[in-house]
Amino acid sequence: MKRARGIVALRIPGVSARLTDDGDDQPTDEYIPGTLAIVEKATGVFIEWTPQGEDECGWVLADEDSGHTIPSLSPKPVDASSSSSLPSSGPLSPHSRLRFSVDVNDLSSFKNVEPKKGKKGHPCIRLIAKDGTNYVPLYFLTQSTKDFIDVLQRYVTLRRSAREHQLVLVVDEKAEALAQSLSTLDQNGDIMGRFMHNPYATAMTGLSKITTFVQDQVIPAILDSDAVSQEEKIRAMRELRTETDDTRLKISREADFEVVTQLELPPRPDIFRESPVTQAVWSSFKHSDGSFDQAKSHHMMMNVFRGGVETELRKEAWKYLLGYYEWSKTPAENEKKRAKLEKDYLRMKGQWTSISEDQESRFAKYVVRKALVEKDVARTDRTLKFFAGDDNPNLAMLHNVLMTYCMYDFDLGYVQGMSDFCSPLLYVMGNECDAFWCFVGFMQRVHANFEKDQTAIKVQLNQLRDLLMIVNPKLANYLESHDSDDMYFCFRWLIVWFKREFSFEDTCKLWEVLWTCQPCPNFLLLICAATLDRQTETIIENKFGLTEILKHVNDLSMHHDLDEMLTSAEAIFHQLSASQDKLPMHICEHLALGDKSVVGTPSGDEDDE
Amino acid sequence: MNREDGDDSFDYLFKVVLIGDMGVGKTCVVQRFRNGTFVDRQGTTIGVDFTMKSLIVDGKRVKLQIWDTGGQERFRTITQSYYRSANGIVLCYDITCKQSYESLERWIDDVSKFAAPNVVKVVVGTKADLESERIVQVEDGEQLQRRHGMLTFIETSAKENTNVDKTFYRLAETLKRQHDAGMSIESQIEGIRLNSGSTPVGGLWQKYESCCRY
Ligand SMILES: Nc1nc2c(ncn2[C@@H]2O[C@H](COP(=O)(O)OP(=O)(O)OP(=O)(O)O)[C@@H](O)[C@H]2O)c(=O)[nH]1
Ligand SMILES: [Mg+2]
Repeated sequence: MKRARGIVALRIPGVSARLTDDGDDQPTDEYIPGTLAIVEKATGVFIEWTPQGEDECGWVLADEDSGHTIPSLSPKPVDASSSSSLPSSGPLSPHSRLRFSVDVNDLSSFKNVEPKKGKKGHPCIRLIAKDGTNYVPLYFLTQSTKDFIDVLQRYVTLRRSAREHQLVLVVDEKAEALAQSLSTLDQNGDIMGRFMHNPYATAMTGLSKITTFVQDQVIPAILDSDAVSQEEKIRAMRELRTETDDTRLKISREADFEVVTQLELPPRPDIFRESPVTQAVWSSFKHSDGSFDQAKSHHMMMNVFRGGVETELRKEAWKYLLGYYEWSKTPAENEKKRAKLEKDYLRMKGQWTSISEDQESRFAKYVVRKALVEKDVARTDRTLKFFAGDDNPNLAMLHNVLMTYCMYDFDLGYVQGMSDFCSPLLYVMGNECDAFWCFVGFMQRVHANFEKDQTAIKVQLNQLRDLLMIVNPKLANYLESHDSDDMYFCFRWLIVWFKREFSFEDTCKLWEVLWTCQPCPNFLLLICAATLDRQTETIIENKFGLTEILKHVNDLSMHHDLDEMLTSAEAIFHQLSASQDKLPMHICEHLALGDKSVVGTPSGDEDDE
Repeated sequence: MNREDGDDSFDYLFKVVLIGDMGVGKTCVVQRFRNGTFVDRQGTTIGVDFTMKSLIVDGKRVKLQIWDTGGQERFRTITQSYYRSANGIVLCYDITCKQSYESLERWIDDVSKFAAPNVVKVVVGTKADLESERIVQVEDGEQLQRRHGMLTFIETSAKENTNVDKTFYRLAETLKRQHDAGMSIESQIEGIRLNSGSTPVGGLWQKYESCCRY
């Protein structure tokens, strides 16, 4: 049967997608040319982006006009042979997976980023769906985003967020109507009056437990009436409170409210990143005999913390940062240590390479481990040139290092995620022995994350929630009221130290920064907090729930700005540090604030509650 | 299958979770179904992620929210929390890996502990293209299916695109029909069927989830 292909309401060629990274050694800032369209179809109105060289219509049909391409279920299910002839399985260009089509009714909002004043660049739009999906950022190379927004407005009502300028929300008419009626109520002084009586501002931004109804319905509704005046009111009230209140954290019970007065943190200082430490700077911290000057060690760590190290320096610097080489020893002494450890490595390697097939047949535990390692080596960073292709000797090296680690720590064994940690080390070191001992040093810091009971990771997730309560109570509250305060959506960040969120190069930089343990152990948690902090308005204004939050956070992968994350995390650190005496004990403990003894020691992952 | 557009067209949303040992090919199955591609050697799944895919069943639009979980045993406590509200579970093992088949008992155990009692279960033997390396026989899969009262057993190959779509269609069809039947019995439970034109915002999926248990 013939069906209409839809009316194209708008078609803009020259709209390119951009991947921050395509997994190769060097981050590429490649634009993928394509066409953006708004199409009216029988099933609804769709925003569609197609990479150049692909059949726009054909694809449109393939995904939406199900009558043609989706095999029918009845009367009899398709069998194996016929399902393999689905049109969707045809050859696809490398960028086909970026192709998308989204129903305007499924659109929740979009980010509209204009190039900074005086800077070159192109306006960008990133669509966010109601299920939390972030679509690939689209850059308008030949025109402004105005036409797109104008045409889109024929189908949906748009409103720019008052709180985050770049965020444009698709307005849900019903929710808006509710908000309207509530704000009318409010004008009668009814609801507002009650909130004024009880600390409204605190309820809004403090750590409060309020009835679900108030939290889920009333507060968002009031907030969503959005007129700037509402915000003004809140701010005014907060200021009023802080004038009269002791800013110390205290808990009081008032009627149905369990109110924790919000701690006012000082403003976040401006932080600047610096350029990576060069060979010359690195050497300037050494004595003439090549050992490091202990008196300058803090200064040097801060240098590495502020800028990382130059690529060429990594091979040397990482050995020290990971505790494989000792700062206080001369190069000759370290070389001696290395020679000894190399023997150790070969000895342990020999322990498993000498296991014969016959032995294996009676060594099930070992065979299972080996299979796990093999499975993961085959899937680790294969897009990187260093690990690309079959029979790549680097794969065998990765395998050997991980297997030998199993022998080094048989109780722990191999756990997924370890290959993610090992791969950059091998890439930088270029040989098994050095990679292995660096890996041992790294594992010392993250060992607990991989242990069977998983308490360490849960402790960190709890600590993150506690931190967020102080740093961004509004978001912490929101997460709590949306079943997300277990913070499980940050699991991947913590377990592999953001390896999956950044390009390879950025991952290396992040890790060397973290290895310095500056400005506090557990700085990783502050990075998580800073990253979430940036997503506050997106999460709240899109009214994301449990699943959408997870999706949104997952989709941020490869779209983070490392330097920005690091500077905000450090700024938060200074904020907290400046208010140490007012912070609850457990927060100070999480960050080892005021504890001088921790500088330079591995991060305190094994903290208990 | 030509669906008339109008007020009689409804959307369904079902949450389907894939579980099974690491490396059995869960991510490849999901990718094949979602994009029609086979991407070899992409990274292990850490934690969980999901994608959406719409299909037409009995002329109605059914949306599947497909959750791909990491198979690493130690991270189970995290992933378990995500199958709480699942409508369907796809249990995967690799036909070339005995261990992955044997592990299913434990995965099934988890399902009975953490998923709703009426969750629809499907058992899938993956990598069917590797016939020469087969270790788990078809009968073993069938037996498991019967023993645990699962909807169906099916062998798939994400690589050669065998039975992947069929698995999800079969599941979607069952979920939809089961839901329809449930609706007519307990007609007071409202909410899962929504007019496609007026999808409500935010918290939508959660609202769905809470009323999907019929
Ligand atoms: N021959 C063949 N190989 C497959 C097939 N599906 C997956 N594989 C292989 O198995 C490997 C693992 O597949 P994944 O989909 O990553 O496995 P997974 O179950 O998602 O694993 P985790 O994310 O670690 O839990 C892939 O890299 C492929 O090489 C298949 O249908 N045929
Ligand atoms: Mg996977």
